[in-house]
Amino acid sequence: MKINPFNSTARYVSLTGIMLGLAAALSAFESMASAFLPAGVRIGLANIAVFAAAVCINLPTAFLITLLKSAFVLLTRGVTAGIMSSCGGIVSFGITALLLSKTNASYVMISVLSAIGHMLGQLAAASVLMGSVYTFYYAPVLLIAGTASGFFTGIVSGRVIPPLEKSLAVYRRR
Amino acid sequence: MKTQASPSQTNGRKTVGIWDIVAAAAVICAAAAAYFFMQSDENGPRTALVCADGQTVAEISLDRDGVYLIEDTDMELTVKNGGICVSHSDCPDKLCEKTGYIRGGSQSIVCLPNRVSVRIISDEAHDIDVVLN
Repeated sequence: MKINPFNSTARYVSLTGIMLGLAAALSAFESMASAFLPAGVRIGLANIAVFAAAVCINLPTAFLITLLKSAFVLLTRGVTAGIMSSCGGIVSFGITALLLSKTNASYVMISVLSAIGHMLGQLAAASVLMGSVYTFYYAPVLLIAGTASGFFTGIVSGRVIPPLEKSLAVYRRR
Repeated sequence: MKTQASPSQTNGRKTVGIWDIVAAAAVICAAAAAYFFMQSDENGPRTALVCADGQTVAEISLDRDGVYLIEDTDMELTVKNGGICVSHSDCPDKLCEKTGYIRGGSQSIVCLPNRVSVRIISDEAHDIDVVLN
């Protein structure tokens, strides 16, 4: 199976680049915005870009974007943040991929579950890094924040992704 | 116009349904209940347990105010009015400083870059070995 679902390589490469750029920019913006939020809480804006890539391009490309986004975090915010980002990102991508391909779950449902998966992946990574399970005391706070932010990003995704997919559909290979 | 190779993944996919709202509200309520349950302040003497790399490195009584430095890191802990906080840290994200004072229940402060965690235990539930001053 070829990874490129479009009828031109240039189109595939540029779209993937745009999505990765969006994910990285949103993630950088988000780390500034989260200065006003409680410790450890993030909005998950970058997930919208990964979600859009999963729907509008394909799942392998979305996974690639997830990994490259974590590499960007590793370079800009250090090793700990990079490990946290990749663990959360991989779990949340797994949930998104499963729900997208196997179910007809709504955007908000996918978004909320993947935000919760992101958080649990990060907490698991944190407890391995710390060598203790006490990081899970953060779970209730992050669960509330994850559900609320997942709801928000789900609404945005449901608004943004269908028109984008529709406009790109004509360029898909037969 | 070209036809698509695979059926659209957005076809028939709703943005939000009534059950999404119900499920989200249920999760938030359950988490909030868990949060307030864990938040309950314990009375009586309490001790802060400081762990680094999974090892307990210090036990600090919260009865007396004071400032403590953690070995091998640039972290500074402050005890004040029965609460403890990370007052200074050399880590990049400062999440531990942002957490602020914790007083009891199952609250904890975690600094991932320094691999340091602080949690509070009730003295009745735990025999104190050493109290650092």
